Amino acid sequence: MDQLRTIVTEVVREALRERDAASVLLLRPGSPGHDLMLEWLRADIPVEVARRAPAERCAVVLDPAPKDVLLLHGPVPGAEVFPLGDVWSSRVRDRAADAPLSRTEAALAAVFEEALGLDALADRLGEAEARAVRARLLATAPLLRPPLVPKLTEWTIGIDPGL
Amino acid sequence: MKRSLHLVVAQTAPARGDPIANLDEIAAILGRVSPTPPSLVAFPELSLTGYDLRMRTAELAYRTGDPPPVRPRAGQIAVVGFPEISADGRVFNTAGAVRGDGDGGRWLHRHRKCFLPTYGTFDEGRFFAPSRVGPRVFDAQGWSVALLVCEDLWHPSLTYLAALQGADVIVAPTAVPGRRPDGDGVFTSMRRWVDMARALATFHQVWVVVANRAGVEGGLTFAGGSFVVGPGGDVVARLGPTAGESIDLDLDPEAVTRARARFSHLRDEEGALLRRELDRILGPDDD
Repeated sequence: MDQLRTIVTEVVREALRERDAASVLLLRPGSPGHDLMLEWLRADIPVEVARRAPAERCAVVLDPAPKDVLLLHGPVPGAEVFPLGDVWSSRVRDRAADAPLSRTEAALAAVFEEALGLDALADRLGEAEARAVRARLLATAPLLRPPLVPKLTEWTIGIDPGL
Repeated sequence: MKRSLHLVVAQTAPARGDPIANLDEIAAILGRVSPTPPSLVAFPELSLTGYDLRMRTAELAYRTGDPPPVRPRAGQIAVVGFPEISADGRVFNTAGAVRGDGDGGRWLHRHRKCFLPTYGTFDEGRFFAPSRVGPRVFDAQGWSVALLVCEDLWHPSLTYLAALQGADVIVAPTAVPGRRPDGDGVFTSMRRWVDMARALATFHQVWVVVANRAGVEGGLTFAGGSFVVGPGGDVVARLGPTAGESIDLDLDPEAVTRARARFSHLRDEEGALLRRELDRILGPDDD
């Protein structure tokens, strides 16, 4: 069994227990994170799919965006659990067929997974784009505190002092 | 002559905020451990309540004067972890050793966690008070045992103090998160603990027992991987990452003697030198 899958699905189960809910609502249909979570969960947890979180909640609302997507673009409002929120896109794409990394995702994966530091973005994206990505990360990271994220790395989203 | 010590490390996944369920599980485990030979059964940090209690920490704390909530069988000593509230309202992260006496249990010893991790993902300093009392050694079936709690093990001053008091065994209930899964069922984060425990065992020629928890709480996945290091610095037992695994082992009473005969570091240790230097560095004691 994929250990990442074990951890992520157990965190989702924990959220179901804590909320006393029976099903999850999975956002971002069509994204690699959505497809991966659907594959991991649907065998034993009822899953509904939607583009946005409903006002009235019964199911636990999952935003399956990877960490770099959350840092660059922010979460879907109303989401309660970010099951892939401490997983870089590169690792999601490793597990999702036919889903190549974008140039920015590949650059972020290299910079963070190899702990190169943000300055190394310029080598991969060029000065101007690297500056824009860096500014967005620095603006978003300190403010982003999703309620429940599997904590897989030393610096989980919301507590990333390196950014 | 000192007898071997039957050691059991029970790697549980305590339910958060559910002491009744946790006590039931502990009682079931103690019921399965034979009372002969005498044994020490170690459970993880905050094994009675779960780890991430936050605003419920004080509500779920046991009062200092209360009798032990666990009831080991006669011949058993159980080491459990729990929040403890003192008469002045401070809540400590405590590990306690309870001896079964045939009519319930009685406290043998309690150690309140000295160093509370409050960095990265850890928030313990918000909910617990730090102890300013170092480890003490207590007698467990003829063995000298000291307790430390998790982060305490990162501070070699505490293991040094335990060793100077003659500890044969240091038992550390822990709640170490699993970080960076390596794909082989082992968390990379646990390797650092093993390296550290091996170094401490080698420095002081003591057994080091790390009873870590497993399971998930608040997005934290705990690493399991409980282990025992012998007084020569070798890992003699190690578990995988899942709840329900256990170590069952007889500690050789001669192993400490053999290690100390081979390496005389502890014998040669000079506490007075340390005291003089600490006096010089820290100045007069203002407490």
